[in-house]
Amino acid sequence: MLIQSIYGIFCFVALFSALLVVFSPHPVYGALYLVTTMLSIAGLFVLMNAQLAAAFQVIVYAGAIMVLFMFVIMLLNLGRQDGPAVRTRGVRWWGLVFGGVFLAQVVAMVAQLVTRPVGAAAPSAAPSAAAAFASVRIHEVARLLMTDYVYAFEMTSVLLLIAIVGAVVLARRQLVQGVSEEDLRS
Amino acid sequence: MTYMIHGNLILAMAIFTIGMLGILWKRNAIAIFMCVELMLNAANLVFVTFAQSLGQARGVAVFLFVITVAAAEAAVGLALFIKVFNDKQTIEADRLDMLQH
Amino acid sequence: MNPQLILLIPVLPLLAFLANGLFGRWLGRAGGWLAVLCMGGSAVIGAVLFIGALGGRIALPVDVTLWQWLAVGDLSVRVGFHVDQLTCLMLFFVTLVSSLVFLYSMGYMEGDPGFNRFFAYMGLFDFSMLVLVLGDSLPVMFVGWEGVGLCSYLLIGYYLALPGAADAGKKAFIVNRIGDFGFLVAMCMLFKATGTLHIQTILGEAAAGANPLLRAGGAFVTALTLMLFLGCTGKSAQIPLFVWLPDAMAGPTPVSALIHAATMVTAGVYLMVRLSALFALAPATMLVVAIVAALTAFVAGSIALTQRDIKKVLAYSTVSQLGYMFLACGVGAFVAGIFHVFTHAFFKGLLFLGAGSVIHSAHHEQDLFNLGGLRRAMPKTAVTFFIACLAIAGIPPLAGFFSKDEILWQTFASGRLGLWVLGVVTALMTAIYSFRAYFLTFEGESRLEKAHGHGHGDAHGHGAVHESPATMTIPLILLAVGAVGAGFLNLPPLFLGGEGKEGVVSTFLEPVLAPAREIIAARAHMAAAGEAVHHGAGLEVGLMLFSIALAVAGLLLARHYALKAWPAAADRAAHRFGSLYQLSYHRWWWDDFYNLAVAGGLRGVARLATWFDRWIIDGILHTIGGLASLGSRALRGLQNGQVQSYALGFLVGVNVVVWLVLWF
Repeated sequence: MLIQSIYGIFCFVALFSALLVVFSPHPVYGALYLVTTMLSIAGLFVLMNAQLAAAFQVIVYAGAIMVLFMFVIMLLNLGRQDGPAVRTRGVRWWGLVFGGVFLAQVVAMVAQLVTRPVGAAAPSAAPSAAAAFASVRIHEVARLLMTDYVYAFEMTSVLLLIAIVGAVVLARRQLVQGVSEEDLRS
Repeated sequence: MTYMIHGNLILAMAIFTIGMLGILWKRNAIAIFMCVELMLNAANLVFVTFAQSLGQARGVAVFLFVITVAAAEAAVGLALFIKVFNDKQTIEADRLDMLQH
Repeated sequence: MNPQLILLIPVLPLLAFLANGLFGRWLGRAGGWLAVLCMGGSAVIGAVLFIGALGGRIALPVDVTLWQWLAVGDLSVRVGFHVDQLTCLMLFFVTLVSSLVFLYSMGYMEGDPGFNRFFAYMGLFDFSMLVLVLGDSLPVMFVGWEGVGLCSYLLIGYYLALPGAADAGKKAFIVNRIGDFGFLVAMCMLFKATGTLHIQTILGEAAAGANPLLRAGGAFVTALTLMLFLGCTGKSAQIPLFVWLPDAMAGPTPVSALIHAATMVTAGVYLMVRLSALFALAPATMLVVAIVAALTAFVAGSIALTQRDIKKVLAYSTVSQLGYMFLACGVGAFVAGIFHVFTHAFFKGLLFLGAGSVIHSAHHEQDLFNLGGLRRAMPKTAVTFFIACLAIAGIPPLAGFFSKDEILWQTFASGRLGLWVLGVVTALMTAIYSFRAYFLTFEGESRLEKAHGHGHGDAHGHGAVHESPATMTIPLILLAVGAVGAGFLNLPPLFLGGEGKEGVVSTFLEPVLAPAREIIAARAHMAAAGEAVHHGAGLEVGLMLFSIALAVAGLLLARHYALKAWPAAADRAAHRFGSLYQLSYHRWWWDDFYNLAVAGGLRGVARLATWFDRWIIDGILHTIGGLASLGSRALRGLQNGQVQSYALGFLVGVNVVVWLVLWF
């Protein structure tokens, strides 16, 4: 019962703060709510016995990426959105319509999956669903990364390197306000 | 534990849709970017949920990849925003229509 | 001789064209010498071929097939060359005269800024002409035919800065197009009749007489040959399409020599002789050809009498002489026609090059009335020019006498006395205008000083009139030798000791022209049924003496009016025959007539077409364009540059995909 209550609280916080990300007028608040969502999801990971994922979620997402977001928001010193919207409002309402359609479709899909008799379901989904969550061992993840996913792993490292270089090149001049490019070169 | 699987899936769908609508709704490019992160998180939640329920390490591995890509994307995207802000003095998505040209 | 060597004949001028056209900037003067060498090489091969064929050491005909060009349905065209006796003769004098003109151009065009461009065009011109002569099927011939037209346009308009030159080039091109239309239609008709465009096959069918469409005297073959003749009138400057040729004088003088003597204008005669078997099937066409040709000869000759520009005189002279050639073909004497082409190439080339030599050293003075007395300054030019005049006037034993007299005799023998009279009058006029040009240019007092004011030459550092350089006089002398000697290649039977003996060229061309001769003979046999008109040798001698007397009379008349009693007698004559003089001087108002009737009529048609184009064609197009514009205006909203609009599109797409994946 305790687990279920904690699960419910996490779910609620995650959903509510996700909504607040969209509805908060100032990006700083939005970013903080996003952190809240991520932490809640990390809590859900812990409840599922996925400690590794939870740790990554907290350290990388909530820690590193969100700090970067905060940093940029502060740097640009963006205030509330002001001024009249330029684009037509149609995009928002049409977005709502198609978002609703999308949600309906996915809900229908999940409902189909959930209400399906256990015996007729896909063999992989049935047996462990009822059992307690198994703990995915860390060394198994590591082995996968070094064997099956080794190419993807290496490419990801290259991707990160490119991202670092790209970010530096793109933002270099602007980060050092008042210093001309010639000064940087010399 | 079945309720947790179903609950997680429904929660992920909800967060995913919220993020999606946020992308269409928000005007600040950084806010839009945060909505993208919401969607990624929803996807991550589904990956990890299935990984745990099936005892499969692969789901967690994919989760790691998603996190890495998200980090790279955030780095480049935010650098772009800085650049655009310096050129146009705004990063509001509806005021930027350079893609038209 | 290896038949593959024949390929070199057209390829060498092409080489000259490519070298000068692509690398002229770096070659400079060497490019000109290269062109001369190439053309000279062609001439040597042509001469070896001709002499070898004359001596019977080379078996003719030779066919060289190069490659398949077109294969569309039933139509199959191979690019191939057919070398028979006629081709040999044409190759011989075309390459010979061309190479002399090339050499001459080395002197004439020296220092011209477009030196290499000139030689490039000339090379292309000769290449086209040789393809025309060599082609074994009508499309291949047509390529050469059109190439010659194009090059004439380029060369006539060579002096780009000269206002008249570009117009003259355009005129030549457009008038030629009208003729080309006839050629094209004739080609289509031939394809319909025979299913092939290979010339020898067509001629074979024509001679066999089995083809119902090519029945002798039939309407189809008459229309077909008339269309062909339309093509000839364009290329070979006959009434009504001769107007381009006098204007073509705007080009450099070597070009005029090349066009009028050796290459372009002979193409029509060549075509007619080449397809003589077809023409022989259509007596109506032959009659039309003869009448048009005789009229052309007469009209052009009369115009040449009074022209003041030395090149214009020669131009109308060319038209007139071409009339002789067609007259010969029209009365069935194809050998006489092609032989006149042959001799004409020498003396007309010589006349033009001589005129060029005069123009070159007289500071581009072309008005006869401002020249005179040049014989002392440039003796070589004067002597060779005089020889050419003797030749064209028909004084024996020079080339023109034998070829022209043969034509007149054949016309007389065919029984068409009206045409013969026209021909004889033209012969008299020929002598008058050519000697008039000679006397006004080379004899009497020099009028250059008076025309240009005293000290004109010194002030510009040109000095007095002087003889042209060796590169120009050597071709003159060589052509003069040809003008003297070419006639001996085809002496009339009379000189050879009577009936049954034929001249060298007649014997040589017999295999080519036999089908046409047989067709004509068969018809004459049926019509006359034995009542053959047989003219005695005495009559022939009498007529010959008569035309010699005419030529001499022309010489004396010209001497009187242009030298002895100049200018008083000429003025008096012009006054007395006022209207005739005006008619001649204004070229029978042909050009004005065309301006009024053809150009005016075309303008009306064009106005109608403009209206149609503006309101009907454009209306349809604007409707279509407007629809497209409306559609795009509707679609333009989609590309507004808003990322979020694009994201919405993305979302719609995702929905569709999910829907498809879930429910199908």
